[in-house]
Amino acid sequence: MHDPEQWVDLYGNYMYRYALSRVGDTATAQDLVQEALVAAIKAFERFQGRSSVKTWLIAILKRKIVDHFRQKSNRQTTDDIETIADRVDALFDETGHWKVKPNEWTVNPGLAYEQQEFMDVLYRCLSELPTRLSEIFMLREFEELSTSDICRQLSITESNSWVMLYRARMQLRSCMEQNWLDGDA
Amino acid sequence: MAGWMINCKEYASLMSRSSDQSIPLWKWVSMKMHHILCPFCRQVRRQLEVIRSACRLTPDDEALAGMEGRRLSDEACQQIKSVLQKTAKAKDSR
Repeated sequence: MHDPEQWVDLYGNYMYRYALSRVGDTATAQDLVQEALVAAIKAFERFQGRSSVKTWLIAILKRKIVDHFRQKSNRQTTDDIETIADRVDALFDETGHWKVKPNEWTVNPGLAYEQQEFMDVLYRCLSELPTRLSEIFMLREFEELSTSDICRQLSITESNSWVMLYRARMQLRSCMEQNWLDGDA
Repeated sequence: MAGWMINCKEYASLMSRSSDQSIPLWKWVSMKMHHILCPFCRQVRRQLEVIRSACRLTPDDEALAGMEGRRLSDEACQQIKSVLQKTAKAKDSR
């Protein structure tokens, strides 16, 4: 079952279609599938068997897609986590209340995937997070690792992981509001 | 009693943490009280739920509608398999 060459026969086309739906270019989609499968072989020890192999491979593919957008983006992403911390703090006034009223998102969570524009902006915003924040966020939300597993893997403390995940989530929702809802709300 | 009342910033931080692990009961109660009172924080909570759901969803083939005919070419499959073989060998030899 865990013969990597079989992965190509069993999941290759599904992964390819998934990648193609996000990047829209056949050669890039093929490269991303290959990169994801190579990464999966290298990290196979990390596969805990809690999800199916297919789900695990797609989680790795999603990370490769974010990396692709990060490389493709001409915008300089800041790796300065403190800058993000300041931006997150600036969401609130001195009494700790929202400075800007959050928008209502009309997207149905269960159908979010089908909303092409929503997913495009989500991937773009993820690729603009500092690498370290995006890494921890993807381990938690794509691979669904527990925070204790993430801490072991990244050699960070639990409280550090909560702070980083909080900042990643707040920055991500801000970015989504600016880039998606400006045109849709 | 005032200690039970938290602001939006504290709520946002607690909400994020509670989505990763269980939090002490008194913090959970504080969060729930704020949740009932603050429509903005309810909105943000829903936003984070949408983001989580979108990240975790693995679409079935139907959700990739219109792409049924799109597949890796035989050459592409062979090329990927060859790269995987090399990667596996390199890993085993380490």
